[in-house]
Amino acid sequence: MSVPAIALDGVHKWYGPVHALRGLNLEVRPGEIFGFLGPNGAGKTTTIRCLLDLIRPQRGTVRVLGLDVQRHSVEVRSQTGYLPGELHLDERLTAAQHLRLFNRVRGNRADWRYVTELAERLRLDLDRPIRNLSLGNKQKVGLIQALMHRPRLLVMDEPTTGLDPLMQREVFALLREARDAGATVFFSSHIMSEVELLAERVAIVRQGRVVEVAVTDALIQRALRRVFVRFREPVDPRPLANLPGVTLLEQAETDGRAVTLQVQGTMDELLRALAELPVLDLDTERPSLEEVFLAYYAEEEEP
Amino acid sequence: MSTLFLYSLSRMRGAMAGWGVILASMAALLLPFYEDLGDRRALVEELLRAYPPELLAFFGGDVQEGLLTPEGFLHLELFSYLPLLLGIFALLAGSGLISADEEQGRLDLFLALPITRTRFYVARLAAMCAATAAILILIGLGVVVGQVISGIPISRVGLVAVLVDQFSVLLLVGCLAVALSQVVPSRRGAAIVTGLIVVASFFLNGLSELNGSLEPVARLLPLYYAQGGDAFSGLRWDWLAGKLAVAAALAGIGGWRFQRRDVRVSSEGTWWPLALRRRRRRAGEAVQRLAQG
Repeated sequence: MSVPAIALDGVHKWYGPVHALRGLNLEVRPGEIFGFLGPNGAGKTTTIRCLLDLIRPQRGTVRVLGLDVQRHSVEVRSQTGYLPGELHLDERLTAAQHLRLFNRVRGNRADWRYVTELAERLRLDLDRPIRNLSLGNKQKVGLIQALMHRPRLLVMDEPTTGLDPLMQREVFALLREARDAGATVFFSSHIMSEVELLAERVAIVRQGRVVEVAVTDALIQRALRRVFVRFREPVDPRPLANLPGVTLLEQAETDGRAVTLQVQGTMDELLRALAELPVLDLDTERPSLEEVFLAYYAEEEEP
Repeated sequence: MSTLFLYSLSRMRGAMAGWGVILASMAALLLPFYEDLGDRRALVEELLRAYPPELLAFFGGDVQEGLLTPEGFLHLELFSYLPLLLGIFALLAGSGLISADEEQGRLDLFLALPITRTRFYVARLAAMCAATAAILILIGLGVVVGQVISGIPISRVGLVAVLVDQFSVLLLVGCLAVALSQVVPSRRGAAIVTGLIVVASFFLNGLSELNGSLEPVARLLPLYYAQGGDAFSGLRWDWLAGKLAVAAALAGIGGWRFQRRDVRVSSEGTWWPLALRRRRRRAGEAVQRLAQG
């Protein structure tokens, strides 16, 4: 059996009285793209910073690429590319100077042609001073510095922050290419759609604990959607509400020409039922991650 | 490590140029001014003798005799208060050595590189030492330029001794600021505490010349061991060794603490002293247990 790329076992982290990680357990397999989901303050960044030995848990063990991060932090970091959640660069340098500096500290492991290729794909002008770059362009510098030495493990905290949708797609492509080349990608996010597009497996962290590790598709099955339907003429919504996984949230008081439904799991059944009705308009809204949590765990709390 | 050293040094180039060029220009003017005083030197001395001793005491040593020599003049006009003036540079450089990057959120990226915290710390510390030395060398060159212009003979060995003495005091101040920056919650806090110590030391040093009972307190503070222009007549090696040893110990404490502590990011302060932190943690756990019934 191969050594996990990341293995956290019973990790506790306190900040004074705040118990940020409460016995967090997690295992990431080598060569997979792993999403780390959770609302703000759930412990995502704390977990990631433990992986890089930037902070040290009071209890538990953290192993990265088979190595104890505290004992072998340099070895771990030499094989890891890291993008922090709050990226701050030296504003006095140009993007190229910054990347060259990091490359020198990394022992000139990066091929500069690859750096320029990454810059071209991300449409980043390397000669511009960091202070003149937008938030998104600074993020690109952060992404390049994490990718440029082709690490075995990529640890990224909210990697698409500040990027437009086109660039987000390019970043996903880069991360998939890194995975195809054998790297493990571990990234955090609080955006469901981003995780769905990219991650093969996901972990959900809540209040410092991993509450779910699942294949992404399975998580989507559990996810709730809100569906707004407007009809050409009044309809009886009860047959819709009786469908498996469908709940009637709201019926417009007007004349029964509009309903709001909540759907858990796939939309197949609902779409089949709606096909037989005079539908004028249909809109779906993906719930926030917090709502997914609430729905998912409400079931557990029910007697 | 040399990459990080050169990078850290390059980030101090503004401070080096600012402090170095201004103070070197001033130093270059002193000896020509001393030469210009010529016959009026006796009058200036007489004027100084009329000053209250409380005021003169702050310039240290035998002020009234000092003016008779170019070395004494340099002490009076430059080297007596240089530790206070350059102390500002030292405490800012020291307190910001690690904390500036940490507070601005840049430290995470550097410490995610394959370099130990010790090497990172040593590179930064070496850059601070080199920057301090560079400023003093510029000041020394300023004095030499003034000497060439005025033609007044000054012992070059003596000048080097003065600069070495100044370096050791500034290193002490800088290392104190570094150590404090690893203990107190913010760079500003470390800079304020170090600044208070330096200012208190300067004034207590002066006052202890008038009131001997203050000397034991003055002895505990760094500027007491600044020889200033007195080093022209020879370094006090015991003091030099003491200053360097204490600076090394302070740097060691700072490094030790940096090795073991969490790197802070905004909204993740971890400053609480250990004992207090443990107590607060236990209290937090007790509250959680109670909440869980």
